[in-house]
Amino acid sequence: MIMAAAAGSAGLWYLSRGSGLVLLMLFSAVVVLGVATRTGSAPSRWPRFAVAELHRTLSLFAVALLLLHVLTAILDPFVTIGWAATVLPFVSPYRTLAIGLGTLAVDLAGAVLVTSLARRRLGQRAWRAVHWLAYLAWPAAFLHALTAGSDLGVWWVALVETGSAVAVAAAVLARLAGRARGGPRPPRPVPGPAPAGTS
Amino acid sequence: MNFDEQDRPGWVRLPPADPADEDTGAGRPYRASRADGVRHLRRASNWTAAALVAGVAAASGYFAHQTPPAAPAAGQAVQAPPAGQGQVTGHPAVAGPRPASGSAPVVTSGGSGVAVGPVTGAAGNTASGTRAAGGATIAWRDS
Repeated sequence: MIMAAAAGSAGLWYLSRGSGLVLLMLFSAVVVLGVATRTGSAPSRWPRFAVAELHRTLSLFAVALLLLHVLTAILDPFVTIGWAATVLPFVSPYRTLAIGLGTLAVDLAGAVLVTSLARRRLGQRAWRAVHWLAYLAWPAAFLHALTAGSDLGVWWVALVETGSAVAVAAAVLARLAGRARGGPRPPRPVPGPAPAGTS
Repeated sequence: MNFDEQDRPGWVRLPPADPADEDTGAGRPYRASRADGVRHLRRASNWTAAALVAGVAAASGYFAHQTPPAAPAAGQAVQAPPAGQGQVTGHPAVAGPRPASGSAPVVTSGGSGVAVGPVTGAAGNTASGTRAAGGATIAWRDS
């Protein structure tokens, strides 16, 4: 970001656009991994805890990238977004709806993050209730990308955004299908015979 | 993420393998599965972090490279897009036209005396005026 700042307003703008696009991909991956954690889906050679931990790790990466995206957008002196618009939706004088959707996604994802960090204090039920907000945060972020993003004419940007939407939609559909079947979670894979004396 | 060094409160460790099983190998699958998971996780995390940095750099670099120059060539006036096609396609400062907007008064002129853009207060001591055309407000002034 220092290099972008050194490059001036345009550098911050490019960095904000680039980080926003990558952030959408990362956010989509986090959602897919979250669904996989819940449904017990995992690559054959991956234990489940690794999928859950990867979901958590990528979430923290997303927070860092989100900070970069927001800071570069705010610090870009050409457009006036304002610090208040980082937490209050639809108050930005610049592209109110598009920026407001992004702020809404930040607020919802922030609630999910904070409650996840305080999961043990809150309890499982409250944590899960707030975690459902992730299913609202992702569409808000996606609509923000569509409306505030200015690069849909670029084929690979369109491909990235379409791919993100398809991945998340597939994950959500898989989860809904699993719930509709009503079956139990698949059993934990047992890597081998139980050690002696640990029945 | 210390998976090996310390337990987290509320978590229950998998039962340790009996040292007596070391020779027979009965306790190895648990340790191997756990170690494999940690190794997969660390590898995926590291690669993801590297990919994020590379992705942001590549995307930002691409946007910087493909953005058209800020100033139009001499003799060309910037045309605002027609109404309904007013999507901003880049940074307002560097990426070409924006839709006519009263909040961003920018006037460009190719030197022909014709300026295109939202201009307010055009009245002066010379003959001047404004008119709307194609979604843009055109201001002119007779010298």
